Amino acid sequence: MTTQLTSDVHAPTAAGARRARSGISWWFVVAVLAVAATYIRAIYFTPLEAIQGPAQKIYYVHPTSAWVAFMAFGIVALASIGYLWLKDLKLDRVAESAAEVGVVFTSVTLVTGSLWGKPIWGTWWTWDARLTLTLFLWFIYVGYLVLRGAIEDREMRARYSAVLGILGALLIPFIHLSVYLFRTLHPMPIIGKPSRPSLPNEMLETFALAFVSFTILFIALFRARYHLAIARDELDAEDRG
Amino acid sequence: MPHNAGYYHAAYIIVAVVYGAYALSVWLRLRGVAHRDAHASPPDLPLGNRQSGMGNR
Repeated sequence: MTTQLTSDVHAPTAAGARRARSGISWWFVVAVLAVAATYIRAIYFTPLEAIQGPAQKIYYVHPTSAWVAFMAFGIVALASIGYLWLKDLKLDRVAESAAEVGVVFTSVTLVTGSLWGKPIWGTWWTWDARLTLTLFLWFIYVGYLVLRGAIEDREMRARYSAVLGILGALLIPFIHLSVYLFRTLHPMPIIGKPSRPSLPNEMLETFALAFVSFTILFIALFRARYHLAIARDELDAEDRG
Repeated sequence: MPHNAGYYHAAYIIVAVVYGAYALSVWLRLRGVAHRDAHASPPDLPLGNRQSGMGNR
């Protein structure tokens, strides 16, 4: 992939080629292998759940994507607080990159949740508290990305989007607690609860593998997106200068 | 046991396609930036080939 990337560029400068290369890393290779291992283990080596049937296997990609999305938006909030305090554009780039990757993971969470809901609940969607709040979170961060694209001034873009990035992340604790606070259709936590996880060991191990592999995938995508943000900022600065 | 394997097959395919498509979009944008950089910046020449005050006319 790296070879293709640099050989296509017409007479790349050393800096340009370096920027492009640094975005694609061995993290991608590890992420692809880890996700492939998760798929193989989930499909072929994890038993079926007796009541829900094969659709229960969606469990290995749905809450794990949700976890990564919440982690991404947590990073957006922390980096945005850091930016408002220190005015360091590096932190704004971290927030921008984490937000974009977080939107992708939230999209997967919503779609896979819907695919699980149809066979188990009999409907693709219901205006349940957790589902509705997660959809609202998705809209906030899509709005965050639209806002970033609409503001030309670099400092103003960073400042406004930092405020929205922090406000959006305030929803995350409510989403996590929504199953306790409201009467919802959404299942209660199986893993993230105070007592022991109520899953057989084989399922628990597959879930743990999925958890790790999607986290590695997030790191790979985030790093690539962060390098893109740096390269774009440098070029924009050169264009202005 | 219910026969609902189609839903999980669809979910796994969609997950792979969405993450793969996003990775591809980042890679294409990185490539676009590298192209822009190549056309925006003068090539890196050894010092001996540079002439002070003389541009490419």
